[in-house]
Formats: sequence, structure tokens, C-alpha cells
Amino acid sequence: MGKLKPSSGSIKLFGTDPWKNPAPYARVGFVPEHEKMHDWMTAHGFVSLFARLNGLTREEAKSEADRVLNFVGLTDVAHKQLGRYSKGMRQRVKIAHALVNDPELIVLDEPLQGCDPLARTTIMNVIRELGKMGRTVLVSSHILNEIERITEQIVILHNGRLLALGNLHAIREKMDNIPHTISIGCENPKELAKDIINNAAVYGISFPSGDRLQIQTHNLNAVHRELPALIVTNGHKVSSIDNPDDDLESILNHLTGGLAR
Amino acid sequence: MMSPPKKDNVFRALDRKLGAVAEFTMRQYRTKLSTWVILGVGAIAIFIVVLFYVDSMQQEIEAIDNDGDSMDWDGDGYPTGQERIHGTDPDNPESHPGTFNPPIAPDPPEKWINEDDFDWDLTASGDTTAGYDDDGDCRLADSTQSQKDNNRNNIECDIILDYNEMRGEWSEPNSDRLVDEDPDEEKYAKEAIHRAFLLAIGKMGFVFLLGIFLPLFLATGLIREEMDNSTIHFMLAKPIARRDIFLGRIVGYLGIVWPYIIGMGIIVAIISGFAGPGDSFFRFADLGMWMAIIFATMLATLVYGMLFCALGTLWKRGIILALPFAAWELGMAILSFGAPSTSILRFSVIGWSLNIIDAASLVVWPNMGLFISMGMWGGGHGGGGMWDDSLEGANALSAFASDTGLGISPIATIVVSTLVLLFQAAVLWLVGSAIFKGKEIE
Repeated sequence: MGKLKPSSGSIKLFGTDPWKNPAPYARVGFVPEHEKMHDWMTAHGFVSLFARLNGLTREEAKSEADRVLNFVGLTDVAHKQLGRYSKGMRQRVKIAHALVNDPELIVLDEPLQGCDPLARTTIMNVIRELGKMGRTVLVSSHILNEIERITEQIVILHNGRLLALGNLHAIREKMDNIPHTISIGCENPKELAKDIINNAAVYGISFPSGDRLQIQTHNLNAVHRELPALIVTNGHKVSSIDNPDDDLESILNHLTGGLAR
Repeated sequence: MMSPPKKDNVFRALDRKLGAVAEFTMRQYRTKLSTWVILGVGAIAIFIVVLFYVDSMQQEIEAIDNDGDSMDWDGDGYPTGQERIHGTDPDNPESHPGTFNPPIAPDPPEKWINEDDFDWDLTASGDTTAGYDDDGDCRLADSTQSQKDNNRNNIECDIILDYNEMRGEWSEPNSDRLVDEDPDEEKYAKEAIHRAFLLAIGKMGFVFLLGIFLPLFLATGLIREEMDNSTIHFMLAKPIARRDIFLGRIVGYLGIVWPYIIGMGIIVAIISGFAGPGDSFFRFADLGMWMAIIFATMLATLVYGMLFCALGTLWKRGIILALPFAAWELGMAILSFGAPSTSILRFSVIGWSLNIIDAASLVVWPNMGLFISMGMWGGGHGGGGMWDDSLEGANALSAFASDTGLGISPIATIVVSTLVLLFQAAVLWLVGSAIFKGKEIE
């Protein structure tokens, strides 16, 4: 985005080098990863400032800010200071600021990081909405699960190399053949194991410690769909649920056959 | 793909973006406590100096009988000065104007203190002779021609003034005996101290202290803080050139600093205008000086702002780079007092800024050099430089007043200095935005 020089090759944004000419930024909305914002500003002030940087007049900027804040669902709190916003709300303000001037391309860098589930859903809805409106939306994320809920087209890059490109399901299918581990921290792992072993997708169970249960499965989603109901109905006391190998590292590992590491 | 329709011309759009950055910067600074602390410290520093000034204006300056003629040496009740103009012997108690027919009553001694004040027309430049023997002790009937004209210019009881073109200063006044020998100390000192105060607070208080320290603390972080906070990314992803961001930030900083300087200047101008000496209730003529002081400080904060903002952009600890510049400028300020025409001053910001104030002082107070020379001479009792006979305030004024050093007229000096400072600002803007443009920001 014209902030770092490419270490090799060249970058073109709508046919122009953004390092030399900022004009193409008028057609791009960028949501940076950084969490710091100008906490003393209101969301409305923040968004209308950047609307003005797109060349709008003060009045145009104000109505544009109203429009985009409404789009991300922040109209009610638009005149509160950013410092008093939750992480998810701040993330939405950042998205709103990128949407001024109705850009053709929207780039989001880790838009879901640090958000609670409710905020994730709202943000994903906003992103999907943008896609339906015909905008090109580019989302960078380390969490494959999130991406799956937003889009079907993915690009996996590692160390500057293209590892996979295309339909998520195709990539996913390949990955379904690899075993996944779910680690559950709970009071009584053996009781829980008894209940969960009936799930068809589960093929292995182990107890790494007295308060922990590990499940091996080929179908992560199937287990995750059933797990919450199971825990609630049988009254298990669960302190944590992790997917230790559902991160980029292990996916990459699988995709590259161990080369990526 | 279609580009968005152009709503108006490039300049209007640029102005909008610049205006947005500037407005944002001003609001940002207003919300920061540190801004108010810095402005507050600056105000306190200035007002402490003003307090000393007001105090010195309230103090009475002792009237000194410089020529000793208020004394009654022979004890006959008549001051020496009175006896002298009546032709009686000041050292003989039997000889005094009381023996005349009709007898003349003795004067109170105060009448012979400060009785022969300066009579130098300060508005007429190029005069070579001045002075009037108010108390008549030079023009005594029994004095010889050579006593009345001991400076030998064939004018009785006058003072020869000589402006030395080569050295650019007034030579020591050469007076006939007992002409303007008992000046009014308070009148001279108050005027001299007042002028010295205006020059001192204008040069050191406003141009140096405010002119360097405000940008040092307020401009160095203009770009750098946004870079360190990563908040610059929001701005960089919008269609605005980095050069315009740089300029917009500076304009916003000036939007805080300039009104402050103007406000401070007006407050101190009002205080010194009322507290200062003079017959009228307010010294309106000084307002010209204040306009120059405010103007010079505004230009200084502009140039230093550009410089320090560029240094801050260059390095995380840009303030460390800025400090040597501040020290250099202090040295240049001190140098300009004593040697205003030194060519090294051309390589400073403060040299040009102070030129504006010096030039204005020459317009507002014509013949400043002669006024200083009068005070240094002080009535001519020094016996050829044996001891310092100068009046109070003359040395202070001489320390802070200086010529403009460019060798051109005061108005031309102001114009040239302004253009040079604006040129410096423009160059530093280009350099600063080039540094900013070359910065990779993670």
C-alpha cells in the first residue's frame, strides 16, 4: 500500500506505482491491522476527516460519514469518543473509514483480530455485504476458519511464495484427510470422553493430563457442531476448547508436505 | 474502470485536504495536556520578565546633582549654581546675592538638581551641534570666549555630535563646559530601560524562547508521533501526497502557535504601553515595535517548525538533532547583539528574525544610536573616560540594541529578511517532505 518498498519486483495499484503517486488511493479503502487510533475523536469525526482527505467538502464528508457508519451499524454511537469503544466497534469504525468515497477495492488486514464472537459475526456480515455489492474485497487473515465464513476464494502465501490459490473447498477437502486434534480442558475428562466417543467423526481419544481431554478427528466441523450441545445437556464443566493444530503452520505443513517449516 | 468525476479544480481539492489535515492537527493538539503545559510554561517565563520590568518602572530613580551646584559650600544659604549666575563667590560666605539691592532670596537646593537636562533634538539626523545651557552657567557674562567655546567650533555653549560613518556609530559627544551637564536621570533611565526591555523581551523572550522552544516541543513530533503510533497509516492510505500531509501538519501547528504568539504579544504590548514612561497615557508608537516582534516570532516558529518536524521525521529522537540547532541559534542571537553584520549570521534563522526587530526599532525610535550615546556621555563628568559616567539604563539599552547589519534601510531590511525566512521555510518544507516520502513505515 505504498508504505514499504517491495524488496524485489514492483507494485502497481490500478496501473500506477502508489509510492510515487497517491491518486489511485481514491479507489481503494484500506483497513490497517494496527489497533491504535485517535482515541480523542468521535467515530463521526474520525470518518469525516478521512472523507475530507478524499477531497470531499466538510458537508459532503459529514453525510458520507453518516452513510458509512450506518452501513457498519454504528449510527447510535457515532458521536462517542473512540477511546470508549470496544475492540469490535473500533474495527468497524476502521472499516467505515475505508468505505468513504465508495472504493472499488477494499483491503482488510486482520479485520477480526481480537474481536469477540458477536463482533466477528457483525464484521463478517459487513464484509459479505460489500462483496454482494460488487466490491472487490481483499481480506488477510491467519485464521482459516474465519476466511471460510467470508469467502470461497483464497490465496495462501508463505515466505513470499504462493502456496495455494483458488476455491476454498478444494483446498479444504484435501485438508479433511488430515487428522485434527481438539483439546478440551475440563473437570472430568473421562465422563466427557464417554459422551463424545459416540460422534462418528471422532476416531481417537487421549488424556494428556488429569483435567484435559484430547480428541482426534477427520472432520473438525462435525465435532464442533455437536460439542457445545453435548457439554450443556450433560452438564460438563469445561474451561477451554482449543484446536492446537488448526493454525496456519499446520495447514501449510500439510499443504507443502512439510516443506514450509 | 471509470475515475470518479472531478467536482472542482486541483487547487480547491488540495485546499480541502490540507484544511482537513490542519484542522485535525489543531484539534489533536488542543486535546493534549502537553500542549497546554508548554504554552503555559512559555507564558509564565514571559510574564516573569514582564514583572521585573513593571517593577523597575515603578521604582524611583534617585535624582543626582551631577555638577554639584546644589551644594552650598560656603554656608551662606545660597546654592553654588545660584551664586555662580549672579557673579558672587561660591566659596566666600560674605559674598552672595542677598547683599544685592534689592536682595535676592536663596533658591531651594532642589532647584539646582537636574536643572540642565539634555536638549538634543533626536528627530533631526545629520545635526552636528546640539545642546542648550538651560541653567545659564556656561553663558556667564564674565566667562571668556574660550571658556564658552572650549570645543572650538565657534558656537558658544553647544555640544558637537559626530557620527562616524566608518565605524557606524556616534563618537563621544564633545561639549562646551557646563552644557547639559546635569541631566534628569529618571527621565532618561525610564526611557532607556523601557526600550531595552522591549528589545530584550522581543529578541530573547519572543524570537528566541518562544520561537525555538515552542517548535522544539510542538513541531518535532508532528509526523513522528503519528508514525510511532501507527496512526499515520490511516492518512497514508488516502489520496493525499505526503508533502501535503507535512504541510497540513505544519499549518495546524501554526494554527495553535500563531494565535498564542499574537495573544502574548498583545498582552505584553498593552502592559508595557501603560506602564512605560512618557507624557501620554499609552505609548502608541511602541505598537510598531510589537508588530515587528510578533511578526518576527511568527516567521521564526514557521521556519523552526519546518526544520524540527523534518528532524523528527528523520529520526525517532529528532529532538536530539534539534538541540544543536537551538544551541547554534542561541550563539547566533548573542553574536547579533555585538556584531550584527557578521556574515555567519546569514546562516541562521534567528539572525534574520532579529534583523526585523532591529530594523523596526530604528523606524520607531529614530536616532537610537544618539540616544544611547547621550546616556553613555551622561553630562560629561567622566573626565575623559576616567570613570563610567553613564546614566542608568544606557548600558542595558546598548547591550540589546544593534544595527540591522545588512547596511540597507530599515524597511528594505524587513522586506529582505522576511523573504529570506520564507525561502528557508520553503526549502525546509521540501527537504522535510522528501525525508517523509522516503520513509518506509511498518
